[in-house]
Amino acid sequence: MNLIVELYTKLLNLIPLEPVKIVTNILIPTLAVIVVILFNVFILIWWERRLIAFIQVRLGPNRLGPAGLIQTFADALKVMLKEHIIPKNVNIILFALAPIVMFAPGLIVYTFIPMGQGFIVSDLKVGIFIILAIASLTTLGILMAGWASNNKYSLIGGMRVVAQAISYEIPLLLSMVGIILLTGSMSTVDIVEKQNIWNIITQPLAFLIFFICALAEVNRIPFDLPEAESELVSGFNTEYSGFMFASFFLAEYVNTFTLGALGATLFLGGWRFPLDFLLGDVGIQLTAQLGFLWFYIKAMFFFSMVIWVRGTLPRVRMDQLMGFAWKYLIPLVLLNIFVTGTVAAWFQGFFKV
Amino acid sequence: MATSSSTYRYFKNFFDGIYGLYLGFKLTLKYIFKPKVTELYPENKRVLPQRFRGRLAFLFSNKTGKMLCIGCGACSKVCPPQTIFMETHKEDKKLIVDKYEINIGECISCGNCVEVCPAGALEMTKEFETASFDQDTLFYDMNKLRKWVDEPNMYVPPLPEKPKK
Amino acid sequence: MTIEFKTDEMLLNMGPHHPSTHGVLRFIVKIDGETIKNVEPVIGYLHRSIERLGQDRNYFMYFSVVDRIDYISALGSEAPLALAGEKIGGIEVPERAEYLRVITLELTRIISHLLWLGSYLLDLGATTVIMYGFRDREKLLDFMEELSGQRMMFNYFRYGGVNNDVPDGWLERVDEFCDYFNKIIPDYEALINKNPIFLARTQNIGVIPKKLAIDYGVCGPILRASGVKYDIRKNEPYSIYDRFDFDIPVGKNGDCLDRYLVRMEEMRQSVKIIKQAIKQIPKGACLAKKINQTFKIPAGEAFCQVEAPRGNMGVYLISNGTNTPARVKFRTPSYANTQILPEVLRGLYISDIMAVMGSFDIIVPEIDR
Repeated sequence: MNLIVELYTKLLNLIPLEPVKIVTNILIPTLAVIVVILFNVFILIWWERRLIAFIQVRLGPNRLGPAGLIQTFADALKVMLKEHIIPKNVNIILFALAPIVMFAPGLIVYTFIPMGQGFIVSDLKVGIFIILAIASLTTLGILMAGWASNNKYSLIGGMRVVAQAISYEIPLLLSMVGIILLTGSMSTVDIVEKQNIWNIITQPLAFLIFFICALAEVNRIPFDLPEAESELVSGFNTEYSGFMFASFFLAEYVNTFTLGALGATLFLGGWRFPLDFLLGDVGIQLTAQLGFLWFYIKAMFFFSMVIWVRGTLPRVRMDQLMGFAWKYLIPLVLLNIFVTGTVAAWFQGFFKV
Repeated sequence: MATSSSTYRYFKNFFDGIYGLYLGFKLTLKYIFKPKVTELYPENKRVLPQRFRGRLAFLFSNKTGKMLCIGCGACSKVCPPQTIFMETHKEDKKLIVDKYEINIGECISCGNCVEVCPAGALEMTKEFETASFDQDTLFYDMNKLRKWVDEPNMYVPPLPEKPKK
Repeated sequence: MTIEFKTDEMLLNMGPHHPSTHGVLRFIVKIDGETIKNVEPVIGYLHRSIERLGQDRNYFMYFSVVDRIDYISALGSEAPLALAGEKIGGIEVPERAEYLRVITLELTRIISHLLWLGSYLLDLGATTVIMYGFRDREKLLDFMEELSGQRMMFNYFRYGGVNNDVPDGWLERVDEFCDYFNKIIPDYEALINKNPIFLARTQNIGVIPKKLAIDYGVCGPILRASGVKYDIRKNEPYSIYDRFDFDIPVGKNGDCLDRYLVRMEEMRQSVKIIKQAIKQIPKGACLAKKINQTFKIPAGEAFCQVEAPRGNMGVYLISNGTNTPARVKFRTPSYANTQILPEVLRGLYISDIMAVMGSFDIIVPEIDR
């Protein structure tokens, strides 16, 4: 796959015109990434339903298509054909914009994550920083949905989301500081290229904290109070039907996969084969041809762990949720930064790989 | 370290929590690889036990070629939703049944009628897929309920044995 | 100088259509932020006038109507009716029928508690326990189906005994199930008991002190979790329960965790009773006299109580010599247990409504019969 991308860039870069360069180097790759991610959502939904069914001693969807792969298409088709019910007295601008505001930032983030050797759409020097800045816009979408629905349940759901998202963003950011210390730069491409030993081995505590905060950012069990089905009848989703509901649903999966991709890039070595520095230069080149595959497997592994947690744990109450973030996670992550900094400063020579 | 100081409790809660989570995760991981209990219906239908109470059947005898019902009306007297409807007329000291109709939508499959029938003319079949799209088709009359059997279906209550004379 | 915020209370209607009030129960909740100020349960959405139906249906067929009061543990409602009728009529029940009654009553206790466990944890957010619970429940429902013919409305008890004897090999299979169940309960406990999230949501939530429980007249596992050692099977034994050796689990604090632990222990004790009954069951008849629609009970009245899975289920039967009761009155446990909800829920959070209500094990058809 690397060869296709190299040919593409070489051919189209022959045209020296500046606007064409923008289209071929930025627009088309972005569109390709978005299309690939949207098709990936179908596989994600299928995998989630199968894996959670396996945990629950039953089979998941297994009728339509081989092993139920076409089930998601059927469900998406059904949801899109449903009637759009818009309640009266609803703030129509916010109501219509909320799914878009929740959906879009999750997709934009993929332009900054390297999915193969040279597969990044735009390589900024502050990649991680801008990823987190954009990814935190999704909470605005949920709050808009909750307020615009003119419904007490949705409003409670929206308020809970804001409190939860704010509390858990701080440990999320701080857990990455350890990696930035070790790597010396905030660019995602640099982080992957300098990970000869995967960061999960050098920073296990940061990985755990990142995982827990990722669950909280995406509103997944055990932190899925905003859309708790048994208490609030689906929270901020209550008044949405048809395609708008589908977009909330898709947005949740895209966001989960985004954080999975981020975790794979930061902690699990991105698009690199494990221990590929032992294979020598030729080995690195060979395994890097399949870079997208390794990246995909690692992101799906992260996603599978999210599903595994969903099958095992009950829901956390609101005040306990925030107590957990402020009283347990933040001291731990500060401890992690402290220890990482100390060790890195003492063994400075050892860490210059 | 005092056993009830808040730092001790802070760390104890933390490590107890982690141990509890570990036990839970170990169990669900084990269950991913266990055999699953889903039955693929309608390809595999389970074998129904002998006493299964499905739809009612009105029995006709193979030996005499006629219905076993004697028209006493005991079944309609014990039907809880009162859904058995019988019409009889008297013909030289015997009751002939003209109409025997039940509403499958109302029948609760309790089996009271089968127990009470003195002639053994009713039976609970193993049919349970009697759903339909139209409520009018749920009135089953004698023709739809007909079933041909060799012996009457007498209900034998589990009574003590009578002492021999 | 302090600034006071004037906040309004919000009326939240957890209406009859709700995924998690178990049935059609309506709560009018007054909340201030996330704290509950008052809860008002509104009942009556599922009233089917089962007691009035008793005056039109004769004794023989009324058992199939009474099944539907508490459809999850149907025999818990049939048993007091049979006992009351036998008390007035002076009917003697054969030994084998008594043992079969005990075995089936304890099996329905396990069936009901497994459903409770699954739906309680489903309300709290864990979605796997209900699937495990239903997998075990399928085996039990298969047993009841082989015995009586249906999986939910058994129609099995009669005045003077039971309807049918056991099929071949049934008792051995129930014995094997008891061994299997003893091995599978530690699985549930590993998943739930030490889970920190579960403990955080149920420990010290919804505490019912001992005096309050006795004052409000709650019954069943709720009373035992608050520290009162009261179980009808031991205090006022009916049928042949005084021949079996079992313990009554009693809790200490009266919070949701204690109610959960009491019910798990009750399941173990039920298995113990079933194993003893299977060893001791004699051969013989299962019914004293043949019953049909002309069965009459002499005039009189009686009140009998039974330890249903949810508490004291009682029947007050007034008969007048015909084949139809004159008046049947049911005392259901959920009706008495719902009264204490406003008292317990004051001051807790909205998320705690589900935790507390789930631990009470309220079944709405029982409230509104």
